[in-house]
Amino acid sequence: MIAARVPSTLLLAGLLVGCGSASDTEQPPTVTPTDNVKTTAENRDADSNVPEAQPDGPFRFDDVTSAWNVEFERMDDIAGSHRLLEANGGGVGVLDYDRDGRPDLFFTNGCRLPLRERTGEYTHQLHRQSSDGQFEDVTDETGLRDETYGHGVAVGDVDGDGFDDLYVCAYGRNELWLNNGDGTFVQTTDEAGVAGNSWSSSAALADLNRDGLLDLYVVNYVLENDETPRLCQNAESPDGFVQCPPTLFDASDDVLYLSEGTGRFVDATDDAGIDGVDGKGLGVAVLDFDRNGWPDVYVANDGTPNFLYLGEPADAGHAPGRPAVPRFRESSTQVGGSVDRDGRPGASMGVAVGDFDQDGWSDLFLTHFHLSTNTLYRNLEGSGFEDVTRTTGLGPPSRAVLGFGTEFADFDNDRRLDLVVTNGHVDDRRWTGREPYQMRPQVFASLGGGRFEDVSLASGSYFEKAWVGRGLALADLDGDRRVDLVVSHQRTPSVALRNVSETTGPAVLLELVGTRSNRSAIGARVHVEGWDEEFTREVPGGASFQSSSDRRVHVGMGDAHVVPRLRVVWPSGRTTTLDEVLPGTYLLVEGHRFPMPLEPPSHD
Amino acid sequence: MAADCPLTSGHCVPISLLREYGAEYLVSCRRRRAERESTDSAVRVPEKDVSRPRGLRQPVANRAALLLAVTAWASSSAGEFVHPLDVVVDAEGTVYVADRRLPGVWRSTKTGFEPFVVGAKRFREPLNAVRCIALDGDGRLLVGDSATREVYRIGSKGHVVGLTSKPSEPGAIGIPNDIAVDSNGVIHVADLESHRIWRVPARGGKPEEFASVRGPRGLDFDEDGRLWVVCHGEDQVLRFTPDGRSEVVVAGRPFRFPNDIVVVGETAYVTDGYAKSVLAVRTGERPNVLRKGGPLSNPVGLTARKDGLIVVDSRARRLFRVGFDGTIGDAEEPVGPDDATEHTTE
Amino acid sequence: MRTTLLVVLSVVLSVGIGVGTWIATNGDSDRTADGDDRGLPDGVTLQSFTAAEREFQANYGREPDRIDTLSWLAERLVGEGDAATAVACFREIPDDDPRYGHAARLQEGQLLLKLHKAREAERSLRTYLRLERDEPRSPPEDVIHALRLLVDLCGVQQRLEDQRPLLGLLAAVDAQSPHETMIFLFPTQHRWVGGDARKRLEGFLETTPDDTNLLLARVHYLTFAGEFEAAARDLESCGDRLEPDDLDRISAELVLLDESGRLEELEAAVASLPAYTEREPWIVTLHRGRAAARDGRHDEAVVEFERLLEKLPTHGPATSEIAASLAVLGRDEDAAFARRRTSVLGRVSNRLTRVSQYGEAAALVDMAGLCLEGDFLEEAAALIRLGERLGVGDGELGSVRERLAEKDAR
Repeated sequence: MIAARVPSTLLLAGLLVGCGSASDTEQPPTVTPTDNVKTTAENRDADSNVPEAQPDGPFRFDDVTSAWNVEFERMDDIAGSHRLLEANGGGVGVLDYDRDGRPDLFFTNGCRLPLRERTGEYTHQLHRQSSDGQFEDVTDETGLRDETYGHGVAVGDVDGDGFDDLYVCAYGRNELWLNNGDGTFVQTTDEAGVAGNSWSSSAALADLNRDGLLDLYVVNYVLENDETPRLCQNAESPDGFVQCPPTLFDASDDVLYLSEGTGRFVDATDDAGIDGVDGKGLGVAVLDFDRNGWPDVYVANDGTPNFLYLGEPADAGHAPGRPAVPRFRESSTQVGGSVDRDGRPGASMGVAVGDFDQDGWSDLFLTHFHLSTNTLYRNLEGSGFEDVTRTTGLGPPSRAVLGFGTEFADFDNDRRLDLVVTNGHVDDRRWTGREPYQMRPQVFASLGGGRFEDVSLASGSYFEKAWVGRGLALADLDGDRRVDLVVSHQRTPSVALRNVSETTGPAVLLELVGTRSNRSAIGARVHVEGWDEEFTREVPGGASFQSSSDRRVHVGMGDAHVVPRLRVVWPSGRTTTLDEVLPGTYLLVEGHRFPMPLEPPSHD
Repeated sequence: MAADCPLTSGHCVPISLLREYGAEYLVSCRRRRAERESTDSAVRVPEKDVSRPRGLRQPVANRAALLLAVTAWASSSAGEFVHPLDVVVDAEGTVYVADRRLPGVWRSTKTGFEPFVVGAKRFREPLNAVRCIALDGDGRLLVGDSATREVYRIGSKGHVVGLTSKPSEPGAIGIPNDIAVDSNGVIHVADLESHRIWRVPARGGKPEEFASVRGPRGLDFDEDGRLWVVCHGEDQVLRFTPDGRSEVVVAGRPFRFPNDIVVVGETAYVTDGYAKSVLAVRTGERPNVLRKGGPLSNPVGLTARKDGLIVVDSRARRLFRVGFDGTIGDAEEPVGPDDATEHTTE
Repeated sequence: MRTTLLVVLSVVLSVGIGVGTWIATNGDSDRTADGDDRGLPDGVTLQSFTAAEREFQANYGREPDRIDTLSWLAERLVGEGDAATAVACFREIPDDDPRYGHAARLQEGQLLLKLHKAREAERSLRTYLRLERDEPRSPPEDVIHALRLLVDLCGVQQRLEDQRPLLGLLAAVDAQSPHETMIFLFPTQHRWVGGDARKRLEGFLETTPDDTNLLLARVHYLTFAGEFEAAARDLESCGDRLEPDDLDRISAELVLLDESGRLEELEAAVASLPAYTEREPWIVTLHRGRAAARDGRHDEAVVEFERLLEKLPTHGPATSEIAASLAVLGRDEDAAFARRRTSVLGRVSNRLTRVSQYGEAAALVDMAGLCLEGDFLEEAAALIRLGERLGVGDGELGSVRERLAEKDAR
């Protein structure tokens, strides 16, 4: 006889079952529901390890939010209930809506959840740069006042009249606002047929069928119910819950709308071959990555393989009055960009596009989750993408953070693209003692040769503090041809950062206007030639996270006095060559031989 | 008379002659597909197909009748502005309103306003984005269109001619936001895209740069031939002599969103959309509010008549008459002939 | 069914699926009856021992011998929460005691886990399994439970290679939980650096701070958390106590060098690797392949990656990297196949939690379908079996079953 059996209670007592706890999904949180995020002034990491600021680096950004009167704090309805809906936050769009030569700022706002509890008191906001360096909320004056649970914003001249319009993504109904050019906007969502009814995160305006009109690619995230949001139990969490990971939700398909050129759009998703499955989209970038003359669409998906839709010629035999339908072939598995080097799909959020290695081809940088690295894909001269993160120095610093908005930009005008990332967790799990909620943003200086150095702590006080960062947009706000930043946060106000870096040299800022091409010149490519290193700067649709940057093309000149040659390849295929370009801000119209100098606004 | 549209099958009717290109003419055709539904396209017609009917100064296509008025096919109901931006009154007192979202030009009649010229419904086609309207030296309408980067002249019968661009080169004036014509008939155009004021010869031709101004919104000439400009610059009202020298009339930025300016005698009047105001400006003085608030909602374009200012409001979608004493009334009543140069200020 | 399970279990333990040697290694068998030694275990008083004797007699109606008393006392101590003394009692029970020997090892193992003594717990559990393999005595549930504890322990220490044969045993007797099935089929698709696992590892280290297994495991966690300096310190602290060619140490070092961007050192470390052995950690083989690919020796890279895939067909990094090398070699069809599998694995990884923690039928069926798309037929079959165990209906499983049958037939 076998001795007294061990009671099952003994077997199980005090033991953890299986290796389930070894996987990452639910972390045991201990946040209290009333835990408040510290104010801006007191902002520090969850861990007490506040690093010392380093001596000055190549960049310097001054927080001019107060000085310039940029006052916007997003309403996210973060009630401590860990809803996934609360995670994404908002975005920021840069546009000169009144054509006064000074970029203005559009912030998307949230509202009470569920949507039926909206009060009407929260609206997206347009902040006009009214005088040099001062911003003013002109939402009411513009007529843009509307309350949705907003996320991303795409900026572009949809009706080709010279004034930038806005497409606002939201949970539920998206909105299209056309700029009347007289300081007001009119909403044309229903007439346009672009409302959707999904959880839309980001969108890109781009001429996908090369008919000179901006089309729309809307990235949708997952299926979720605002009335009965899914929550995940966790016994160790102080309130018993944590935010459910997106793996537990079904994907929501993206939508491609083609402009009919009359204000109406047609849903051409299926016809165009947008057939990716399991796409939990958060970011998007549209560019002709393979240079076959047709725009391609890259979608950053959260936890599922990313999509790379390679564009092919539109159907030439389309019906009169109907837009030609471009064909796309999802090719990320074949050519790269789908998963990282380890074959794992990242939790992809933001997408930066730029020629980081100065080989003349635009590459991709994606931001990912905490405890995984961001990914830098090098464009293999149009034949595909290769994960080169480990050779760039960008991997290690990204493990401890969770990245969202990101952009490449030449912050010190040395001709090389640097990189900026805004970080912040999606759920407050500080009670674990290991997962910070607020996280420091990061800025990386290009060292040349495709390598970067983290210079965050030497770039100004903003980068020394931790935030819950989300959208990020670039803009030359003050007209000094140094690239400034605008960052949207959760739980704290958005910030404007003025680039006061001591630059290597001057720069050229080009405002491109299409005539045969779409008027916004989205998809234009500028080849910078004549120096030892030749590189490109392109105008993508989308990019970053839920945000839309200043579309003007910035070319740092290093220690040169002229740019030997700028060769502009327009989306239409036409080319304009500019020789011996002096530093300055210019307007270049497609079909014109010479650019027109523009006098930027003066700042103190 | 209907005719086959060379670009599409089916019948179409030409709307207007848009542009002369030397050996070719660009004619806008409208093909009616169904009740209240039509598509527009632009058709090039070779010179050999064009004849010059007696009595008309401009050539017309002889493959179809030139339809001069498109009232019946206008997408809007007669008389309802969609998004009016500018206004002008001719010597006969006829009021013309540039409407961004008609898109096109309304004309006053005894019974109200009717569409006079309707632009293309398609983006980036002629008159799809009209922004401003003025009269040239011969009393003909000039219309600025940012869709095609062009200023058009519209004849009394409604035919339309582009003045500045050629087929081989896109127009220089990207966003014509206002037009003013000097005493020699030279056309001045405020361009919000290039932040410049352009000069175009009276008969049309290549624009020349006249001045560089940040965000030029409104233009008008005074009796002395000086060009007044209201803009988004650091100093919001400037005045230019014919040779291009400028002086500041209103320093700083007292206007929240200036849209247009008209000069009557020694006084200029400015619409400020965000302030919902019409203001009077005299040299050396701060702007003075002439009229503020309701029913003004977003005043944009304005012009002057003997009995006051005609102000178009894009948000209210109405025309107002603002007296020089600041009173306000409805301007949409038909009016008789008026000599705009005879009005006086208080 | 129980008998069948017993038989199967003993068979599989004997066969081992690779586990035979593993459980024999370091499994102490040095506990034998030590005669009539009246010395009491640490922490046990004569009073408590005597009381236990009396209780046993009252309960069973006979006078207990020493082992009886130790067993009885140990169980009482467990109930009272005195795990350490209970362990001391169990340790006095020899392996070959026919009544208590096997159970004592199992209970020791459990209690040692509770005491955060990882290595000792593992030793006891391995011994238990060895004993059961040689002479089955325990109910099958106990054996399965021991396997699970070891699976968990290996997982916390990121010893996926050691974990795999144990999971295989569970699979062989259809005893895998949904989570165990996921980590068996797709171990590299999991993120193994979760907070809870690390917390437990730290608990083990607090008790045995010099345990090299644990330290090496922490190197992995610290590396993936971006704490490279701390990881390097742990690696260094193992240095003297491990042979230079200790492959577990090398494995941790390679990961650290790679993730921290010390690429020259990484190259040097790979160049000085000892010759390939079948039992080397997957990470080592992976880096052999990567280094060969970087050098342009893609044919060699393919060999290395294929070695990994032979052991684990769903090895994500190997699948992804072999695709690249095959493409360079012009083996386009093979490359396309590998890329397809990479995509499938990517989509599978997004469903792991839904099956593993929530047992969602739809996700499981999706996953089976994806496996069929990637020609992961065994994996698809395993998922179908799991579905059947979870009670997923024919309506849902039927089509994947049919597709599997079609593919099998081909």
